[in-house]
Amino acid sequence: MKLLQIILAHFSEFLLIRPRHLFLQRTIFLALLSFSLSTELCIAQVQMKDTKQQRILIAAASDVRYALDLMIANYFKETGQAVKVSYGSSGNFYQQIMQGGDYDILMMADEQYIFRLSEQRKTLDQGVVYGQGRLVLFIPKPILEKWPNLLSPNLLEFGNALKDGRIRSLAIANPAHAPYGVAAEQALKSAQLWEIAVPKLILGENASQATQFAISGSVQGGLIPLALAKHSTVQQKGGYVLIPPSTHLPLIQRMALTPAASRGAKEFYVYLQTEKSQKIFKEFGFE
Amino acid sequence: MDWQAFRLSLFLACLTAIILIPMGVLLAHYLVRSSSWLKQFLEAGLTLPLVLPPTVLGYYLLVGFGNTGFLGSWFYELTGNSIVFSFFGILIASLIVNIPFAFIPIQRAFEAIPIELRDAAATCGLNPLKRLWIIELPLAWKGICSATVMTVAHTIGEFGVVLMVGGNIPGQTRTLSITIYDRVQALDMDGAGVMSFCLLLFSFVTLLLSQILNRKSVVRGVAH
Repeated sequence: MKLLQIILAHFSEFLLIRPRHLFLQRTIFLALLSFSLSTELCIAQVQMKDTKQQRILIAAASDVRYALDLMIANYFKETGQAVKVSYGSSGNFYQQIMQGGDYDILMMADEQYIFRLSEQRKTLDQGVVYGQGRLVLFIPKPILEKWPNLLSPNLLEFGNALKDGRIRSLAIANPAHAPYGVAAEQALKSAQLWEIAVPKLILGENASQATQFAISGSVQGGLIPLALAKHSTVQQKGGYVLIPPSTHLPLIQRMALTPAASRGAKEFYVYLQTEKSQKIFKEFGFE
Repeated sequence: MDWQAFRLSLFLACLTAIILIPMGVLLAHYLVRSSSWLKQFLEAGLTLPLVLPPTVLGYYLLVGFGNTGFLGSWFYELTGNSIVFSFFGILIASLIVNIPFAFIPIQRAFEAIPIELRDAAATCGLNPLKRLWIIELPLAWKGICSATVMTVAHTIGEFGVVLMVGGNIPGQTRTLSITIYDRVQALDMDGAGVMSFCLLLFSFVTLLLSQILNRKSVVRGVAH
């Protein structure tokens, strides 16, 4: 409130000196007043939020998005405790955490990231596996109606379509830092399609963005996580077929607590391992 | 509508303006009068964020303020918190990005004040600080208002550097513009649509406001 007093003092000086612009100056004064008032309100609210509840902040691989959102909603119904999540690619989160990113629970689509972080003492331990992710080939509806045999697990007809130009662009996650991008690259290489596919690739920042590209209607296909392909919006937009896990390194999903984890975060970490949560993971295609 | 992100955006914008505008006033006031050779360099430096890609700034902030960087490691040892991927990090980023928006309009406003007026005030025995408070600030108030409006609007619209330095953490660094990006990725087009429309409306009203401010000053300039 001291700030307000200072502003008030100086503006009263203005008001005395230039009566010609009384109205205009009063307008600025009121604007500044409401400005600082709203800021003070904001600060108060942010502070209140922090003390009222325990912070639970998760950095999660984007393939777990719909499964985790469901579990968080369940947890909130059961305990009243809110959980915050940031979704992204595992490689990006690895980089963030090495730079000082501050999370309570980490959920990575490739367990190697958890192992590397635990070597650097950025996690409490080596964590636990919560499932194995599967990659699917997604083809949008209009393309599928024309050529329904594109969806085969051995990618044979799909490969032909890539070669003859029926598929002009293909969405995958960025292999530089997204595990599903790496898996997509390996699967395409196993099918001897990588060279043909490279100029047609559209890289998503993470698996979730690759999925968004794939269903956008401007792309003829995508290699995306099963866990996202099971979402109703995605299913409405096209069809998918599972790609055999033998064609790429397994996508073992592992989660771990960080040394900064709050008590609430530890409780939620345990909740994620209960039978009820494991069932949801399974429903979304994590094996 | 994500009210948490809305509040965060508003809070960030207000804080940025409150910190930056007084600094902009003092700096512009100094630079307008100064004839030092440093002036050109300083002015170019202050305008730099306007043309610099946000990713360049994001890169330097990550390198400099990350836990392995010079300032970042120093801050970490002092407070136990890291600068990047926190609210403090995006505040620093938005302060730097907004320097030109806070500085240029105020500088123009001060430049428009005739030098004779300042000299006359000096002859009347007013010291520079008093001159600033009593004579120049009331004359430059439109520039200051327009700088405030632009700073607030630009902070709310900032995306690239906030994503790079802030990392999309709900309640801490997920501003409204990042929420839209996040909602689209979550395939929640309706949610993204509502927020996009709000930002569209907000930006339009802001520009309208600053245009009205500018037009009035032109009319007054003719009357002089």
